Amino acid sequence: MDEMTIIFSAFLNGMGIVFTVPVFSAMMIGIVAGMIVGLIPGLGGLVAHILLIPFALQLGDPLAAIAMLLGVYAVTSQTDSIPAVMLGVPGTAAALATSLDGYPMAKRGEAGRALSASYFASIFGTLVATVIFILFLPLLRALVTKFSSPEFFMMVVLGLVMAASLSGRSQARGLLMAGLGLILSTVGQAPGTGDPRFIGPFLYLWEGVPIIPVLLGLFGVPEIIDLAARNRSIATSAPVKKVSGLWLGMVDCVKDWWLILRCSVIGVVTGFIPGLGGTVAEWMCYANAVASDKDKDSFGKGNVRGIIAPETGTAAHLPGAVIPTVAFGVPGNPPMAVLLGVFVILGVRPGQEMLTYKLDETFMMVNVITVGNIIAAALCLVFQKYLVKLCYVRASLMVPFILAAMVIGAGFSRLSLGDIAFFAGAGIAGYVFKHLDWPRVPLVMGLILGGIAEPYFFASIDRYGISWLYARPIVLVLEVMIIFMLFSTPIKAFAARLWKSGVRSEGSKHGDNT
Amino acid sequence: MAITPENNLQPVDRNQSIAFGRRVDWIVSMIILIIGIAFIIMLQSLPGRATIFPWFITISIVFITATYVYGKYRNKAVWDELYDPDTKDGDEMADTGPAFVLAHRRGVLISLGSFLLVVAMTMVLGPEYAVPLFVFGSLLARKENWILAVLSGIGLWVIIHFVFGDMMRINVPVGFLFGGFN
Repeated sequence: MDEMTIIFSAFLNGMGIVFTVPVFSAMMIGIVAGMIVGLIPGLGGLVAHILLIPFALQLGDPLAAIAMLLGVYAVTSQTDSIPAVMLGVPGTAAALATSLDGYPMAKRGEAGRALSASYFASIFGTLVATVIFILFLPLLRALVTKFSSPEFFMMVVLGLVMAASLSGRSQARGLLMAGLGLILSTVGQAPGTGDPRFIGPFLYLWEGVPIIPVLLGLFGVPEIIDLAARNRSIATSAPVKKVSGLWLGMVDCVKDWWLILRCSVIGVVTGFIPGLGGTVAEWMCYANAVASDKDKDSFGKGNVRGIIAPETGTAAHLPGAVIPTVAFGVPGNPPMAVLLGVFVILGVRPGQEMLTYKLDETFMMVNVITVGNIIAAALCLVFQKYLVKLCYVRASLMVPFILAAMVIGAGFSRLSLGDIAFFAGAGIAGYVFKHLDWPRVPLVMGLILGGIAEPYFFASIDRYGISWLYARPIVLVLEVMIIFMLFSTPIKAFAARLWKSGVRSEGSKHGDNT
Repeated sequence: MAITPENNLQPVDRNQSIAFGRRVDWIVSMIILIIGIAFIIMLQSLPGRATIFPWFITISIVFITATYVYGKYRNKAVWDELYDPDTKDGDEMADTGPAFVLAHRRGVLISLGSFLLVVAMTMVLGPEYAVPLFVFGSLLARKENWILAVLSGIGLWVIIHFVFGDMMRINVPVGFLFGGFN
């Protein structure tokens, strides 16, 4: 069969899986839960995503579990534009650009236009990203067949180094956190030999450090503590009442198809690069929209292109981040790192298989995001008036329930009190890390990727000795990229210091002469 | 409790914030260094093949931490910028740093206390009893409607006991008091 026929048939099969009863119902639960938890002040999509994991794993069907989590993942970029437009308060950092133009439009009486532009931009963004994925799949499949254990190992290292370098303000801290995650990933049975490592007298640790309580603690607890400490809702002003011009928003999106296409490409690329995430995609697209517009002054005052561009970028980055996760086991963003952890628990192995024998399942994941986005847009259009009310819910009412859900979820990991102990430790650590700018994403990526990298490392040494480090072209290319990522920041800093000192000495010479 | 805008911080608060960040940063680096060294020591008793990957990581960690700590010592001013609330983004919903901690110290301590309380209660009683009790107590303490508090507690117990325990057959862990960890 010809390559494109295989891909299209996998696409259709993947779509078929999405509409099977268990997968579709799980996806719908994910969408609804994502819409509600994602809108709760201060929590956002990642926490919603993590909160649902323990419950998704209890479903007993790996595809349904993945669909549920991807359902949450797909809707957050839709719902966060509701408070951004109606209240001028971005519920998440990723909706900040949308609020810049969305709220002025809403105040002008064009809330409906702004919201529908945001929903349709998201839909078009994911659709274009899916098409890009299909078009690049033959290339990706050809590339991945050239990959063996050494290449996969180096890809994981590259992913970690990129995430460590790009998340947070200090590369050294990112690397340290990634290293800490890697160290923790070695606790438990050694792959290949079965020897117990670093478990001491605790048999609980035989299976390694539990991922779910650590995720809940690191990402959920700090948000809950801050939410409780503020003890208020994100909304302080009344929402804009008049929601009109829904049709106009869609027309705007169709008219600005070229902007949507450009922003989709930006979104896919930023999704593909580990550590960048939706916020970077959003601002890059916003900057692109401003740069390409003749009326630059209208941005920030209610230009609809200022909504279309960031929403397209954030939506397109979602399927974009799935690609490296399933193809190379390198997550493109934090929710994908979490999903990779779920893959590990469910026994789903990213890599060549996902682009060959299991291509249907890969397409199911991409299609869940697209279908989820369309359903979420429809639900948002119908229920936006009610959804915005969630932004007014007091923290004092929410916090005990969310904390309770976290404790229950953490306890479901291995059904042991050890889970609760890890949850507590990770919660305290997460709070400290969050407020002192120690990035938590590289830590989680290290913890998850360590378990994937070590078998590749073993297999590489067993098959090729150490010759794989210098005798394989793809490994060499990846090594150059890793070295570049590692040393570009210190070199830039050194060059800047040299430049500054040069300018200073020039200045003092000039001063002496005069 | 009002949020103190970061640019309205008094110089004394700012200095306190920088000193706090600097101190905790040292502590975190030292903890990571100690973990790295402890793992290296523990590696000695393991069979060779199982240690290749951990050796590679622990040595890298010790090296990077040592470089980081040395860099901090050499360029104090550069690193202090990281703890300075004035150089941070004012985005309330993102990581807000020490200024936020200073402005909400009481609220944060209460929230941390509630978090530790629910963890301790779960360890002793297990989630089945600890979680409903915690929700009931928290809602009362936060002066919410007592009927809501009672109904929430009972509702949660029903969900954990009947839905998770009986219907979904999940083996919900029990606390120390009921023989957990035995």
